[in-house]
Amino acid sequence: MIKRLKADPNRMFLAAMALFMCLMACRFFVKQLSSFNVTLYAFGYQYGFMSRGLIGTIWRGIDYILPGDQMTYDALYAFSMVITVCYIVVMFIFFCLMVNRAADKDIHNIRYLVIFLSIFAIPIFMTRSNYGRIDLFLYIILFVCLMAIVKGRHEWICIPLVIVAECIHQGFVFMNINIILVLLFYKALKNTGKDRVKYFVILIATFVAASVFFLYFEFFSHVDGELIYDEIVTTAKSLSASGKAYGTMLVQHEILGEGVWMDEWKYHFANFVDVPIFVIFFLPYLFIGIHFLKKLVKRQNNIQDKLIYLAVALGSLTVIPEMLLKVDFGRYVFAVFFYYIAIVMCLIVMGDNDVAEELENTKAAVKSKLPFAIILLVYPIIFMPLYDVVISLVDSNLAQIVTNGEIYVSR
Amino acid sequence: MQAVKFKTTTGYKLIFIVITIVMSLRCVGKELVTSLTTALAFSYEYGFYDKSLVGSMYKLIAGFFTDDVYSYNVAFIFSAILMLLGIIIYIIMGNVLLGKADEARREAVFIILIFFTIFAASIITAEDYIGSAQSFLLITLLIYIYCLIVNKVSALLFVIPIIAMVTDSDFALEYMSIIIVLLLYRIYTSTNKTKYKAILFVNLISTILLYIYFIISHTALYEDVIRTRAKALSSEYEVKEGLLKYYMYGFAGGMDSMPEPIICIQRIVYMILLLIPFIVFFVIMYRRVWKATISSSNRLFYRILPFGSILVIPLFIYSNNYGTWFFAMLSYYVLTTLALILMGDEHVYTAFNGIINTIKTKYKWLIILLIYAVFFTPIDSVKVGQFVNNFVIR
Repeated sequence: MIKRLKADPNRMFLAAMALFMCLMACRFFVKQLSSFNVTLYAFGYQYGFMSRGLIGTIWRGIDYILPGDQMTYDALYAFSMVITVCYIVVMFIFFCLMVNRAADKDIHNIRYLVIFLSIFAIPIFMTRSNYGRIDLFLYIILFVCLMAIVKGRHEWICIPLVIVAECIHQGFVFMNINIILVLLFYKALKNTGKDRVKYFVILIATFVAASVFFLYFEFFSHVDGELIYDEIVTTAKSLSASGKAYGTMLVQHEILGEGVWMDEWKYHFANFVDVPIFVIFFLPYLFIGIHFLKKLVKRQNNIQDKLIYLAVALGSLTVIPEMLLKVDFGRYVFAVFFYYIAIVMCLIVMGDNDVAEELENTKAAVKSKLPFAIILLVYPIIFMPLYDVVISLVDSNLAQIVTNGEIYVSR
Repeated sequence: MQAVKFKTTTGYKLIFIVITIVMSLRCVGKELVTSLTTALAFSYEYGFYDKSLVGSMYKLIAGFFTDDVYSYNVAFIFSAILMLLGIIIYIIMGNVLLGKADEARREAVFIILIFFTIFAASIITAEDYIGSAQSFLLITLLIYIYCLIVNKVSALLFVIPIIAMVTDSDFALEYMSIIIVLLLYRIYTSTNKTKYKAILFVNLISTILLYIYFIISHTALYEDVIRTRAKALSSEYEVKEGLLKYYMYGFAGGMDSMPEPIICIQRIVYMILLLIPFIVFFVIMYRRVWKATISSSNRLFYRILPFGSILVIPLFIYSNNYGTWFFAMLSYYVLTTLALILMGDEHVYTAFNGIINTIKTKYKWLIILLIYAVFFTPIDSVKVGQFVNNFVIR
């Protein structure tokens, strides 16, 4: 087996990545399912077509089919384990697709990007704040959509999957759908004739479906919240480890439709200190990213191509409303990194020479200025895992030191 | 010109400083554990016993500033200052060692330093080590290694092992092997053989005598006072019983607090399994060194070089601070490699650099080994770390 691996460098790399990803998951796994993440299982469509009710409805269906009572913490813990494993497997399949489809000239960069993405994408869902979080479902859906777009087959599947994602968590429209829309936009403008029409139809249908469902869930799905509030709180408490805790802000916002910005003031304050510290630590990546994207847009000679790469460069800005209104900067930082790393990977594998060449140029520029430039690949792991309100250990520890312990948000 | 200059020493030093700071912030503990607060209650006022230097320094220094010496807040401030000093001195030593490397060896030295820093940051800043004797031992060891590298015989080479032993007698088994190996190298290769032989002799004798003395010297006369002070220093009003019993009765007392053997065995087995990538790296390196030195006059030195860490093994048997002992073993291989490269040893440098070049040309993605190293941090003195502990079945 080792001989076969040595004969095929891609296979050897993927085997090493599989082991590396498993060990990374084992390293960061905290073996705790938070009360916030089980609260959503208390929601369900028996109360009406409510926001974030899909997973709770599916779980109730599983409870109905399987023997015994599945509406327990232990059952949800096990289910979260299954979903987390599925997420890692789907991610690995995505990596296999990227590596096997990459051209020989691009394979080194694709491998670096695979490593880079895995560093962010695995630890985040092993922590107490994010283990079992329904974001896992969103990223599984996202990986499936990306694979369909890269392979150029069954791209229509993005439409129903995006609807499913919206039913799971309407925040998908800000955090994750950007990469799907940008890639479809890219394909629409790069193609001609019937293919262009096809991609525009899929793009518009995806956008409209996501928007309609977001608007409904955000503004019209909170009816009868007062009537179902007590029952949902009782169920949520029974699903938590302690039997008493539940995600209060989540229930207030999703069931009662109340704004929680002022109630989350403590977390907003933590963000005001935490976020600038994180940005300072990650300034090199900001400079490198801006340099890369500027050069990418500048090298285009016509308006159409400039538009495409402007969309690539600015697509992550859809996260801004979340950053302004909510507090989960750990998840937003992950969404931004995921966007840029995944989109560059997808474009290179789809045969975009401009992106491939500009990445190589940027790499050369960094290597000419920085000794041992590959340390940029190692540096992010020091900040892992990303959490939810708190971004990472490093900035959170410094924030606590700087504010003399004033800021403390549990992880 | 500026860009080229940055790529030389300054660039490497800057990256080293940034990595040290962020690793320290990653690992930094925010409270003192009972083992640290109990150790601060030991003092030379009870007699010249093991592990009393830090507590005596604490009493002396804190006594200048406050009457309420035995309180958690004062202990925390003292330990935090020691931790900060530890990081600063570590950064200075790292920069000094980087500065000692010529252009050809700079990248190799840099890689080793970064790898070592990933682990060493824990020993200075992690919750189990803030202001502890272990971080002090590490800093003194680095200073000793620097003195050997610059090939200047100074009083420090005589004094440092004595100070380290007085701080914590575990130094004899943790780090003395590094000193012995590097002194042997100097004896083999230096023109100043006699002086290095003298240093080796003095270091060995002083270490052995102090070690024997500390093994047989214990007292239980002051248990009540120590217990009261240790409780006052602790945030939970607790005492680390195993440490206190070691102080009073020696090894037998300390071994009472060992966890179940099955837990100990699991921790060691999983630790070895998870370290396989680095073990393989060093095995390949030493094999290349052996091949290159078959007909060398110093081949005996290179034959024993890989086995110097066996001195750490007894520590795994009588004490459950596996994280600390794991770091000691790692330090042996990393610091001897670093020191030998800086001392101009061609065989170790060629072997190490050869592996790095193979990785750079054929397996660039093996950079994940450096990423993988971070999985082991922060180091926990007993459980080794979350990585190992996640596999242990209770």
